[in-house]
This record gives sequence, structure tokens and C-alpha cells, in this order.
Amino acid sequence: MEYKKKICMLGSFSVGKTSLVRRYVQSIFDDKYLTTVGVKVDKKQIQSGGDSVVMMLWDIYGEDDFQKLRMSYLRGANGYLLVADGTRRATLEKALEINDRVQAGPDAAPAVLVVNKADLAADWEVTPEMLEGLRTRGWKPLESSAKTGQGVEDAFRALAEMMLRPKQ
Amino acid sequence: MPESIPPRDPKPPRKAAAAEDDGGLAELREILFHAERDELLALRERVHDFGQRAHDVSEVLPEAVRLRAEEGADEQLTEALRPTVERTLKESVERDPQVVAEALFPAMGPSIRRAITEYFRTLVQSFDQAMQHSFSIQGIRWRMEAFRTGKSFSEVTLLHSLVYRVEQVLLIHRQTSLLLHRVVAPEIAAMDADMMSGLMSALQDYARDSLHAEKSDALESFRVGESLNCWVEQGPKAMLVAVIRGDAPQAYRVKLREVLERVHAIYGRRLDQFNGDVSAFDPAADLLAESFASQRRQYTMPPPRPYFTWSLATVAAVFLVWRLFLGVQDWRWERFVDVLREQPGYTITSLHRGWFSRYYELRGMRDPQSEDPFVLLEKQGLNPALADFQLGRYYSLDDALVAKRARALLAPPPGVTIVAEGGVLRVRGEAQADWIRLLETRAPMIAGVRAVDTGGLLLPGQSEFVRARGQLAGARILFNEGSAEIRPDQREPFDAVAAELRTLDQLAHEMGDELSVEVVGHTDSTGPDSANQRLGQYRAARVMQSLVRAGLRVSIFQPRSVGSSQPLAGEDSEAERQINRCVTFRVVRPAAGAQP
Repeated sequence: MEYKKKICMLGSFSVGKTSLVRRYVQSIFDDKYLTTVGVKVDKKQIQSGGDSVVMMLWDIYGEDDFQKLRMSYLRGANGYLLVADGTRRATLEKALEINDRVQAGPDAAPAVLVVNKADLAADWEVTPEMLEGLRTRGWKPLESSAKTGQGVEDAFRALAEMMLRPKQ
Repeated sequence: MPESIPPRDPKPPRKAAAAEDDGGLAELREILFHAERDELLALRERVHDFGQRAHDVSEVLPEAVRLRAEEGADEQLTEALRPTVERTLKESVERDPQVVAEALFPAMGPSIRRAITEYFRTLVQSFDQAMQHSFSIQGIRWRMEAFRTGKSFSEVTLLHSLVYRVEQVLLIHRQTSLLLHRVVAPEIAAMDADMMSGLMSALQDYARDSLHAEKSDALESFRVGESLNCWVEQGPKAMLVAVIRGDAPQAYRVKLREVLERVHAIYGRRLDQFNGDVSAFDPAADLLAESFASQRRQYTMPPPRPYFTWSLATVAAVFLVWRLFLGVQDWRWERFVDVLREQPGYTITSLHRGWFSRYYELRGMRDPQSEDPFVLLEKQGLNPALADFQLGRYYSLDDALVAKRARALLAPPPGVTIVAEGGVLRVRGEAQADWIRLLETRAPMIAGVRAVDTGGLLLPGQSEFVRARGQLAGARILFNEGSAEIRPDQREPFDAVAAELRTLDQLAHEMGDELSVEVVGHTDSTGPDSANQRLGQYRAARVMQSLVRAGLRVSIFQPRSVGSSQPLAGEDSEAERQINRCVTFRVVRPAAGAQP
């Protein structure tokens, strides 16, 4: 069976959302769409448990103090990829905060948390204890690196799994 | 067995006291509704009986289907039946293809033929169009465009000859912005419609948010470059995006709306329950394909122009006639050259006419004394205006021309004829002495004159002198035998002789000469010679004497006798002897115009 799913990538400004997917997706649009329209749509196809999933990745302009998340872009989303920057603790909090906001709205959907910049582990502000804390709250945070590609495929696969076979 | 249905109580018994009343009521009901109760039982039996129900449905089914079809636009029935019909057909083909093949056979032939005909018609049309485009300025421009843009020529031609053409139609799920289905026109390079759908939806949101528009408002269309348009038709659950090359008419939007409405009608539930499985919308392909449309610019081939053919034929005919006319003309001019070559004083080396010229150029040489070529042309009935003579001058040795040249140079007086024979100029006639001298000095210098013969030339009066001398030479004065007396019957000849002598004397004088005439006495042979000699002497003297008496000068006469030594006739008869008894005359001087 082939499915199409709308995935929104959410997270603070410059946590590496765009970099994270750049090497793993089909793209026809320039990055400048992000700063103009506030979104860039890419495509990622993966296999999950015998099903083919076409993920339409909405790379949404990172929320910061100047620009709020354009919620209309989230309409109909089937899943979220929450991205935080391991070297900035605040981004992790922001990601969780965005998630709370989204899950409370009409477009609640499964989400996968990715803590990016694993290649800069030495500079991380996010500690293993914090991640452990998240696990106890039901999260399965994944460490990733746009630079080395670590964890990227796993993140997408995990998300596909959650969307296709939600655990009750 | 049908179930027995216990009589239903409208209300459960509430009080024991009411039980008695109820029993009465049931009895009353039994009495009142007995018939209806049986009917109800029969109906129930009918509803629960599968065979009966099937029978009932089979009775109304055709009518129901017909009614549904008559209601028109609603295609739910078709959609509902489609999976079953498709599956049935598939199974039938799998089981025995022959059945379907035979059923389709009558329909397949004509449609295949029609398809082939249509294909060839299109092929011929596009070939026509391509030809038309290939050989026009526009065609060259398009070819250059094709070269510049790297597109094929046919592609460029198509782009230019289209008013509009719907290249792609996307069906997008409103809620998720995911592409449900997409149809692409033939020969169009497909782009990644998934990403496009996403961004298209994002743009919708972006435009709406940025302009603070109502939620129901939408970006209905946008244009890219000169000819690419995107038309968006929004429905509550899905939207259609048509990518259009060129400018579609407004009516096309109505068409899009109709298609979208039908999508909602047929797939409404699937759109609601969409879980990412897009295969559920594959059957929508036909419906979406209906929204393909295009319009070509009408290229009307110019109708065949009969006047063009006619003018071509006329031109050809005129050309042919003209060539024929020229052919005849050429022939006539060649004949003219033959005539010229036969003419004395002409040497023609070439005749030439330019390909598109009417004029004839003749090269060669011509004697100035030859006949005027233009006169000759007119004699041949040719137009002298068309002649271009390039003739050098020369002297011909032809006798006719030598004589003509001599006549032109010598200007002979009237009565003098000049002819040439093998280069010898023969001059005859009467001319003054001055002219004769001129002739004798100039004639040998004339081109072509080898010698001059003036033997036939006389001074003025000489001819009369010669005539008179001739007359005199033939005259005789006859005598009787042995007599020297002039007989009376000889008076007339004598007078004639006297007259001629007077003329001769006069002419000799005019010629500046002195006349001298022998008067010769003759006898017959009768008698001795001495006597005859004497008798001849007498006869001559007697005639001379008479002539002097008639007025002639004596000094002009030299009488003498030849006796019978020079008889003028035989002596065999008296008549012959009579002839010999006479006097004759001979002019001795002047000798001019001497007898040949």
C-alpha cells in the first residue's frame, strides 16, 4: 500500500531543520522559499513495514522572537518532526512548547523529537539527564546530525511507524 | 415457518387493577383489527422471506435504475456499479476472453477504423500546417526560436498555434494539501506534482494570511511568464489546479467547477476519510481527464485559386506563342541571310539574336555599290527596324558591281552603256571626245577593272556618218550594155546617193575631217578587158560629173575603174550581167567609227 503523509518540521530558528533534510529529500524548491513564503515543501519516500510512504515535508520557518509559527501551514498534518539544537537548551524547550500548542489544536498528530547537532556533543547544553527525563514522559528523543547524517533516517522511519500503526 | 407474533402492548401494565381492563382491550383489539393483523403477519412473512424479497426487488430494479438514470447528473449509481461491473468483466475475460471479444467485435472494427482515419487526418493536417509553417517567414522565425531554445520545431509550432491548452490537472486534498491524483496531457514533461501541490496549498494560505482575506477566499489564478497560467478551483474538501498554457476562456472555469463538484459528489466520503491512501482516487482519472481542453488557432489554408492556375497557363501559352513566333522569325531571317549571300557584294559571316531580344545582328562585309540591305529586307517582308547590320566595307570583283562602280565614278553621258566581262570594261554609245579621254585615263584605275574596250564608242555624229556610209555602200547606179549614160530610171537612186553624200560631207566637216569617196565603175565581162576598163572609167566619171552638177564638191571624189575584174554578181544571165554594169561608192575618209 502506498500512503502519502503530510509532515511538518517544527522547531526554533536555526536548529538545523533545513540542513537535516537537505541530503535526504527530493527538492525542487529553493531554500529562499523559507524566508519568503515561510515554508518549503520537499518530498521523502521511505518503506515502512511493507508500505511505501511518501512524506511531504513541510519545512516551516523556525519560530523566533520576530516571527510566530504560521499555524495555517500545519492544517491537516499527519505527523511532526520536532527539531531541537543540542547546543542550545532553549530550543528543546521551545520544541516541546510548540508541540504542546499543536497537540492542543485541531491538527494534533504523532510527533518525533530530534535533538540535532550530535556531531557537536561536547558543546551540548542538553544533558543526558534531560533526555532521560523526556523518556519518562513518553518521548523517544533521537539524536541526529545533519553533518554526519546520523539519526535522520531513523527519525523518519520512527515517524512513519507511528503514523501507520498508532499504538492505542 | 413464520414466527408467530404476539400481540404487542402499547404500554406495559402499570397496576394490577388495570389488568382486567387490559384483557378487555386486547379482546376489543382482536375484534377491531383482526383483518389488519393478518395482513401485517403476511407482510412480515414477506419481508423475512429472502426468496420473496429478491423476487420483489427484481420486479422494481429495472424501473428503479431507469428512474435513477433519468435523473441525470448524479453518477452515484454508476460509481456504485463500477467495481462490480469491472470485476465481472475482468473475471469473464480471465475465464474465457472469446466471449467478450465476440461481444466487442461489432463495435471494435468501426472504432478502430475511425481511430485510424482520425489519426491520418490529424497527421495530414499537421503535415499541412508544418509545410505551411516551414515555408513562411513565421516558419523561419519559429525555426530560429527552436534553435535558440533547444526545443523541437514541432514543439515550438504547437506552442505558437495553440490558443490555450490544459497541460496538467491536479486534484489536491484540501485538508492535508496532499496530491490525490494528477493527469498530464500527452507530450508534456511532468513535474513533481506532489511538491507542487504542497507549495500551491501553502501559497493559498500565505496569500490569504498576508492579505487578511476571508477563509473562503482563495488565490484563484496566477500567471507565470507570458503564457503559463494556473487556475485554482476550491471546493470544501478538495481543490483542482489546472496548469494552462495560453489563455483559456472564462467558460473553462465553469468546466473546472463542474468537474470538482462531481468529484465531491462521488468521492465525498473518501475525501472525508482520507488517510493518505491515494489509490482510492485512481478512478478519478477519467473525471479529471474531462477537464482537459485545448483550442488551436484556426489556420485556414488559402482556397485553391483558379485565377492563379489560369494566369500560369496564360503565361505559359504566351511564352509558347512568343517562342513559336521567334522561331518563325529566326527562320525568315536565316532565309534573308541566304538571299544576301546570293547578292553580289555581300559576305555574311554570322546572324545572331539574344535570348530575350527581338533584334537580329548581322555581321560581315558589304560593297558600297551592292543593293541597300534595308531595301532587300523590305522585299523579304521583314521589319528593317529589327536589323542591326555590322558590315565592313569592301570592293567586290563581281562584274556587275565593277560596271556599277565604273558607272558611278565615270558618270557616262546618256546613250553610253558600260558593262564588265571578266574585268574588261566594255563601253558603247556616243560620247563627247572630252569624256572619252576621261574614260581612257580613269577607267583602268577603278577597282576590278582589268582593261577597257572603247571599240563601241562613237563621237557625236559618227553614228549618223556610219549609217549614211552604210547606205552609200549599198547604192548602185545601173547602166545599159556598153553605155556610160545614166538611164532615166536611175534618177531616183542617183538622187538618194547625192543626198547621202551631202550628209556625209557635212558630217565629215563637223568631225573636223575631209570627206573622200571613191566612185568605182564596173562592167560585165562582155568585150575585151581594156575596153571594159575604159568603159568603167567613163561610167565613174559620168556619175562624178553628174554629182558635181548636183552640187557636190568635186574634191571629195576619186573616180576609178575596176572593169570586169570585181564583178558584183555572176555572168550567167542577162540579169546578173545587168548588176555588174554599175557604179558603186566607198568612203575612204574619215575612218572614225570604221566598220568592224
